[in-house]
Amino acid sequence: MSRLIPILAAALLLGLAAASPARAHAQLRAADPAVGSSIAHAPPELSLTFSESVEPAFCRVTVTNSAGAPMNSAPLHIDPQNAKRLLLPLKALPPGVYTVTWHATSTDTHRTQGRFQFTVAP
Amino acid sequence: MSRSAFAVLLACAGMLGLPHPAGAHVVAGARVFPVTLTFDDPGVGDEVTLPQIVVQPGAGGQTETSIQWEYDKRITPMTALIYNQGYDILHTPGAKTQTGLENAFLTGKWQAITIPSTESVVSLGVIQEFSGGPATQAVGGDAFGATAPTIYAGQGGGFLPWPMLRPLAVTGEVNYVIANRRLNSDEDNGGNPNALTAGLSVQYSIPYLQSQVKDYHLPDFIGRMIPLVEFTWYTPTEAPASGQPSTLTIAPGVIYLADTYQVGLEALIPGNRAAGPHVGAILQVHFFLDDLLPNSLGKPLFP
Repeated sequence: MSRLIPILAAALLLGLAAASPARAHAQLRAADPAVGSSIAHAPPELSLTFSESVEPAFCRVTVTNSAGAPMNSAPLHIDPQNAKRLLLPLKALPPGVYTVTWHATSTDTHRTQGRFQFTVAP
Repeated sequence: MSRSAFAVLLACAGMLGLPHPAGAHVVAGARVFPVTLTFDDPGVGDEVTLPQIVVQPGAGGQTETSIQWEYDKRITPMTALIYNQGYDILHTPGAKTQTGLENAFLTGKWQAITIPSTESVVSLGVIQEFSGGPATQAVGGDAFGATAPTIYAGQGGGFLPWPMLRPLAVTGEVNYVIANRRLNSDEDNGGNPNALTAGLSVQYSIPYLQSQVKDYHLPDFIGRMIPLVEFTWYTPTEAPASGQPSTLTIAPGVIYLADTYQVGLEALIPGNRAAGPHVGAILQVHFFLDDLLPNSLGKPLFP
């Protein structure tokens, strides 16, 4: 009987998991501009794609230049086609190094955060 | 489970048991500390290890296989109770195979300090080992339990000036194991000496590299890997301890970190003669209930 304990417990766990939607921490899966990248021309908006759907009202994203000045041209918003993607419209970015700082809250209220840089080449 | 709970963790291959991981993945800022396999990680969570399989060849062809499990339940967002146990199969050539449940462990843990900006975590805990019956002792389990005040810590390398080193992190654990029955001078009362045990892991997080430093557009499978090496150490702190020499085990391996579970695989390499004659292996499958079942088993009893 003892040998069955782990098997039964695994079956129970997997059954529970199957019966309930999993909603994990929102981890950054992709960014445009990409993390650590060097690009010739900045896109008109920053795009951050997470592993989970996020609540834009409880998310914060900033893009700052090397002097610490914010470079967004409009507020953060969610991609209407993808609840996992946050979009931040940007001003025209001259050559330089830019820092992205993000705080995300997934729909199950888990909070995550991160920071990375990208470079607009001269 | 053999000798003290933590001698087990570090003990001689094949002759003694193996680590009880008591783990929870921890998030501190941009850092995710995965569940280490041979000792506890620095935080609390609602999680299940199921199963953890340890294979440890010993001297004379003896092989010990342990099937272990763990349940972590948060009481409040920063406190948890953790239950560990396992089932051992001790195979000795020419002899009847011995089987039995390991001693049970219950841990009370408080994640006391979490600093997201510096990727730092410190927890305090007390681990209680409960001794089992004759079947447990037949597979090397202690006849008496132990109590271990414990401190846990984790530090991410996000502050480092060299970007490629920022995915590094270290975690550690130090226990002072107080035996419920102290070993007498004749070493024949079934007791144990008090002891110090410690664990240290050095990790390099590919997910951190990809999301914080530079996206190399690695395949998703590779991008979720955390190569690491774990060190576990045991030493008695008092005489008599002739039967329980200090041991060191080195466990290099890798953890695959998915969104709702992780899978870890490590070699168990004896770091000194007392730690055993052969290399073993440990495989762990661990589920994050706070992600899998956020509205039921995955939330604290008192949010």
